[in-house]
Amino acid sequence: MRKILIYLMAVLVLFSVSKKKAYAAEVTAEQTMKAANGLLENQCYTEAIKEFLRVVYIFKDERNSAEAEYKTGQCLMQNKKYWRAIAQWESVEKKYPATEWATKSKESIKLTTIVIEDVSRKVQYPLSLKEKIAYTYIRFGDDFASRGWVTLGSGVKDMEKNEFETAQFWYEKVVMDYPDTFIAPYALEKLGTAYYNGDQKQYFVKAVECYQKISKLFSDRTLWVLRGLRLAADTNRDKLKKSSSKPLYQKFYDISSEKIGSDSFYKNYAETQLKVVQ
Amino acid sequence: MLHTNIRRSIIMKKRLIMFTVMLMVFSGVVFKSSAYAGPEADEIYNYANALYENECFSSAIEQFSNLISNYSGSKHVIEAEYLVGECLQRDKKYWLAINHWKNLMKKYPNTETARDCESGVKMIKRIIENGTLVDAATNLADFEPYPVTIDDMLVKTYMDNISDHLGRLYINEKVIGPELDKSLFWCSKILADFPGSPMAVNGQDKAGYTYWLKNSPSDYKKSIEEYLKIVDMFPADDRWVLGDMKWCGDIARNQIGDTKYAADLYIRLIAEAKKRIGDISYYESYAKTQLSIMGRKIE
Repeated sequence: MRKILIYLMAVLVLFSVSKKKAYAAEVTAEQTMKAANGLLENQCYTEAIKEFLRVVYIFKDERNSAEAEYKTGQCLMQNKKYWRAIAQWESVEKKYPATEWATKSKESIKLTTIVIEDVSRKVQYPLSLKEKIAYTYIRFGDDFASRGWVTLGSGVKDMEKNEFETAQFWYEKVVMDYPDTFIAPYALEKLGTAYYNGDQKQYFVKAVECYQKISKLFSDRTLWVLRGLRLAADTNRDKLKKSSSKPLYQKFYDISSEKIGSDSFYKNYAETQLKVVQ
Repeated sequence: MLHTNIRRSIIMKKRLIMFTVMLMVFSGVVFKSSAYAGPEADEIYNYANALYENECFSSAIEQFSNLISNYSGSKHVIEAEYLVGECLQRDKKYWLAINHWKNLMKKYPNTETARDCESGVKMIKRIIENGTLVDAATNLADFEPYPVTIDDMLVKTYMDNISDHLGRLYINEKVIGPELDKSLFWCSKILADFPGSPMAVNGQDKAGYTYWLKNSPSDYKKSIEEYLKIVDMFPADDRWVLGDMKWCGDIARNQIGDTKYAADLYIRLIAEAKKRIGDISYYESYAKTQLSIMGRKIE
């Protein structure tokens, strides 16, 4: 009898210990989630990210993980790290499919894309060393391009061939060496602009070629495809043949309608320009 | 009978004591593991990585350091050490990142990590290859050695003195000679008093600049001489060596008007850039372009 009593006591002690431990973990995860939400509401976004990620990776709290990861994306968006926010929501869609947070992520991606559609290159800040080197090469290109045109007494611009070719070398080196970087299409845009600055028909044609190349080489990057098409169409409209810009604006309209949706600035822009060039 | 009962009682007591001891030991283990129940190394690594991915760099460094210090047996330790350098560079603390990676290269020689660190250091150096062309949003000071010792701080103070004199250089567009002389005095004092400071190269650079400001043909030549001294005095400072050699070529061409001398300097720049950067560099392409413009054939 005494033996049974002792065993019962031992079992009770052990049970209470393990229950206490489980309860403590549960409360801490909940509290952390609550604290993270409080930080998000009070606009302490970086601190909130830290707590949301703690819920996911330290507590491994399955009930709250999808929400925590979604809200991490929200914090990034609020911190103006749009591209990182989109990547975070894409990860939520993959990791937690068929949840309300996957649906919300999809919607948030769409809305954020609209936010950045016309300022895409401004928010693409270089982070990795490859991105930074690609950006450095673009600046080398800019330096040579700034000496690439000499204005003659007649006011006509003459190409300083050596400087221009070196600028072209650096811009193209970005596309060749670091095609996967965010900033690679920007190098082609810069090359197009360098030609554009020549202010003569033959160079406008070259500029259009560069802008169109952006859409072809980076066809998987919707915002850059649209940017390339828009620059090519605008150059055709303003400097070359208006009629040549029509198919470009039409393509621009079709892609922006399909990829971004009806509320898109790009779609409205294309619509307006199609009427203008009619 | 009584004897048997006493023996039984003693055995029972012994069993009870043994059981109690066992229970205490077991509870001790349970309680100890409960108190020790912090996250596992894998969890911390994943958490730190997620912080890094989501650009909370200082928090990521905190967690990577936690892993390195408290879970030294973990398979993630070396990668965590490398990623601390990545966090530093992404947080624009380039000088710290270079130092961190250089230390790792010494700690783990001839390993994959050492090669990654070497490549990282090389890439950072490429970003600041031409300091005047770094991104406007990037603070060049993030790449520079900053004052650590009292020597460095005095170098900085002397540099401020130089800036002060150069700031009062012009009155009615006339260059004030005594201010330039005082500037040169502080330049030479930096080099004489603190030649070992990583910031001393600034003094030599400013000496070249001060002579350039003196604005006479003989001073332009003197300026080139001062700039070129950097090659021998501070051979490890690629950015200063190459940047100032470029200046020398430009001064010879634009101010002195001696295209032959300029061409020689550009050719020297090409050789130095090839030796230091390896891959095609800004300076190599710059020098080649200027030589082409000057109608010189390039081998």
